Amino acid sequence: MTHRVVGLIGNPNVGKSALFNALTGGHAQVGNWPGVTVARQVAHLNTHGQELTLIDLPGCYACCSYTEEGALDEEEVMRFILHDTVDVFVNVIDGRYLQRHLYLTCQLIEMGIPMIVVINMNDLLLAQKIQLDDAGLAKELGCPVVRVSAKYGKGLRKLKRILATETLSSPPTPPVPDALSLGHQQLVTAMRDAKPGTSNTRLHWLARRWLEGDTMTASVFDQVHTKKLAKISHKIHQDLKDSADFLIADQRYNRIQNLLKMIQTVPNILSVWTPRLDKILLNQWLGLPLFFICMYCVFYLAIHVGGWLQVGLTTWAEFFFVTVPLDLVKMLWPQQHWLMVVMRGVGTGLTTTIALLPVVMITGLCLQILEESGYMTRAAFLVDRLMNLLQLPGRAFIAMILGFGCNVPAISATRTLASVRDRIMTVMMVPFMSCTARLTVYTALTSVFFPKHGALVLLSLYILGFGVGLLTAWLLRLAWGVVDSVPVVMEFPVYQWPRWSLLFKQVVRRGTQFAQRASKLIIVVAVMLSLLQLGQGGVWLQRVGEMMAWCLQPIGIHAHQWPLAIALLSGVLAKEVVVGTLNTLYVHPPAFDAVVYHSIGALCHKWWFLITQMLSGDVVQQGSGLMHATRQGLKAHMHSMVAAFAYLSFILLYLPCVSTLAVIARELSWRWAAWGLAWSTVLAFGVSLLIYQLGTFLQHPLFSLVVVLVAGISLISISFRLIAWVRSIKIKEAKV
Amino acid sequence: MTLSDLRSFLKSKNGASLRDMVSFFELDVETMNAILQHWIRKGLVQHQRCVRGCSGCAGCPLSMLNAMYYWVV
Repeated sequence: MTHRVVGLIGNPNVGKSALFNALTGGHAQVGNWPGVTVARQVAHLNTHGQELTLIDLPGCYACCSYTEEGALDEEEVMRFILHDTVDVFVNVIDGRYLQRHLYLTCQLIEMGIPMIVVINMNDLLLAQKIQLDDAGLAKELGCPVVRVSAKYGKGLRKLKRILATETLSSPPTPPVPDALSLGHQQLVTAMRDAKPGTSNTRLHWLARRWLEGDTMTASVFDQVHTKKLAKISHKIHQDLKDSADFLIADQRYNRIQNLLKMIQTVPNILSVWTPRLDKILLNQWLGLPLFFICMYCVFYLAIHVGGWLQVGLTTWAEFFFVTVPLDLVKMLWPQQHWLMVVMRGVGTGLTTTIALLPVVMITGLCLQILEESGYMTRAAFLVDRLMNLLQLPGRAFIAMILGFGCNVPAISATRTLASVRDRIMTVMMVPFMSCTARLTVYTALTSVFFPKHGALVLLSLYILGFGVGLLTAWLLRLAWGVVDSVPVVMEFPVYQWPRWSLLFKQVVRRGTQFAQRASKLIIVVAVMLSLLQLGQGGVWLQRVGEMMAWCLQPIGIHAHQWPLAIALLSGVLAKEVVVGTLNTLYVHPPAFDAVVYHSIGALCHKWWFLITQMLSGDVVQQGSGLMHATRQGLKAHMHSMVAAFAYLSFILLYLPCVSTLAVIARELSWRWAAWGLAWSTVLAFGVSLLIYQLGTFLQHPLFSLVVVLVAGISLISISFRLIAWVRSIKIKEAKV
Repeated sequence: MTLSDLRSFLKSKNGASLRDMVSFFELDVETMNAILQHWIRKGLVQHQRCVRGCSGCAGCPLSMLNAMYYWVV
C-alpha cells in the first residue's frame, strides 16, 4: 500500500469542508458563508488499496500575499504552499463563478504539482442550466476535471478512484510574459545558487512569485540571498513599462477569458424567484422587520414545539434516571447515603440534558433551513447595514452569526479579518451573542415566568445581546478613532429548497454533540452539588449563595433565592449547567428515612402505578428542562417578571464560559481575555440593574432613582476607564 | 475580462459604480471586486462608499453596488 498526501484548496465558500467531510466521513464545520474553515484539518482515508492523507485548507482567493499583515487563515495557506509538500492538489471550484475561481487554479498550475480540478455544487450548476465542457477544460488545463455534489455525496466515487489509482502528472506550466522572461531567468539562476538541489519547476515558480511581489517567498531563503534577489528584482522592475505583478496577473486573466469562451455557456436568466424574493426580503424598510419576524417564528417553534416534546421527555427521564435508580439503591444499600446522593446527581444531570435536547435541535433545524435556503447570507447583509451605520468592520457579522451557535468557533472565525483592530473588536463583540447554551437557560426560565410571551422575551434577549455587542465595538472604535472600512462585497446564493434528509442528519449530529458535551459538565456539577449538600456542606453552600445573592440584591435577587446565585457561579463552566444546577438545588435531597421498599415486587408495583399515571397524563409537567420541584421553587421565590428578565439579562451578559475565555486568550492574549471579563461583568451588572430598577420604579421611586443614577454614572466612568486602558495598549502586544 | 480591460474602462470614465462595471463586463459582484482589488491595492483605483443623491449607504439595500470607483492617475 502506498501513501499520497492530498491538499484540498480553493476559494472561500466553494464547499471544501463539505467535500472533505464527504470523502472522509469527518465532521468539519460547514456553512454557507466564507471563512468557516480557519485552520487546516487533516484526515486519513483508505480507498482502492491506497492510503490518502487529506488536508483541508482554509479558503483563499489567490495564493499570493502582498502585505506583511494579512488574514491569519490566508497566511496559513501561504505557509502551507511554500513549506509543506503534497503529492496532489484537489482544487475545488464552484462552476457558477469560474472567472473568479479559475484565477487560483492558474496560480496552482504554475506550481507544477499534479492537480485535479473538482467542480463542486454540480446540482446548482444544473439547476441554473449553466453548460460546461468538462473535457475541454481538462484538455486546456492539462489535468483531470471531476464534477461532484459534495453536499449530496455525488461524484465522489470517481474522484476517489482518480485520487487512488491514476498516475497524475503535473499540468504544463505556462511561460512567463515575454517582458519578464529575461529577468525571470536571472532570478531562477540566483535562486539555484541560494537553494542548490531544488527542482527546476519549483525554482521557476518561486521566481515568478518573487516577481509578483509575494512577501512570503522571502521566507524560503536566508537573509544574504534575499538581499541579492531583491537587488536583481529591483533592476528588473526598473526596466519595465508595466509592473511585473500586473503583467503576470493580466496573463492569467487573459487565459481565463479565453478558456471561458471555449467551455462555458450561461443562460440569460439565472433564477426567476431570487430577484423577486430579494425585492421584498432586502427591502430598505421591510428587510430588518422581516428578519425579526423570522427569528420570532424560530423561537416560537423552539418554545412551543420544543416545550411540547420536553413534557414527555422530562417526566419519563426523571422516572428512569432518578426515581428507579434511587428506589433500587434505597432497597439494596439503605446505609450508603453517599451512593444515593451520587445517583441522584447523575440522574438529575441526565434528565436535564435530555430535556434540553428538543429546544437545541429545533432551533438548530430552523437555523439550518434558513441557512441552506440562502436567507442567512441575506440576513448577514441586513446586519452589515446596521454595522455600517456605526462604521464597524463589515466582515464581523460572519463571526457574530456563528456566535449564535457557539461563541468558541465564532471567535476562531475572526482570523479571516486582516486588520488586528477589527479582529479585537469582533472578538469582544462575539461573547454577547446568545449561544445555544444560553438559549437552553432562556427557554427553561421563560417557560416558568413568561409562559405566554416566551418567544418575545427570547427575541428581546437576542436583540439586547446584539445591541450590547455593537456598543462594545463602537466604544472600541471610539478609543482607536474612526477608520474607513472597506465595503463588504458578497454574492447572494440563489434561493433553494433544503435537502431534508441531509438536514435531519445534521440536526441529529448537532443534538448528539450537544448531549455529549453538556451531559459531562451537567452531571459533574450536579454530583458535586449533591455531595456538597450532604451534612454541613449544604449549610455552607447556602451561606455562599446567600452572600452572592446579597451582592445581586440591586438586580432583584434576594437571599432566599440563593440557588439562582449559585447557578450563576456554575454557569461560568458552561451556560447550560445553570439549568442542571437549579434542578439539583431545588429538588430536595432524597429523604433517607422515607418509605423504603424491601422487595422488588413492591417496587415494581410502585413503578407500575407511576407509569400508568404518566400514561394517563396525571403526572404532567410543563416542558422546560426544569424538573417539577424546580419549577415550584422558582415560582415561589421569584417575585416578579421584571426580576426574572433582569436575571436572564445577567445570564446573557456576564462572564463568558471558560472555553470562550480560553479561546479569547489564544486568539488575542490573556490581557484581552481579562478586559473582556471585566467589561462583561460590569455590563451584566449595570444593564440588569437598570432593567430591574426601572421596571420596579413605581414601587420605590426614590430608591430606584438614586440607584439608577449611581449605577449610570459608575457605568459611564468605568467605560471611560476601560477605553483609556484600551488606548494605552500597544496593539502589537496582542498575540494576533 | 482582464485587468487591462478594467483599466481602460475606468480611465475612459470619470468614475464608475460597481453596478455599472458588473453590468458592463457581465460579471458577478464578487469577481468584479476581486479584480478591482488588484488596482486598489496598488493605489491606482480609489473607492467612495456613498453616492450623492442616495439616501446613504446604510439605508440602501444594494449600497455596495452604488460604491463609486475612480482611476487615480
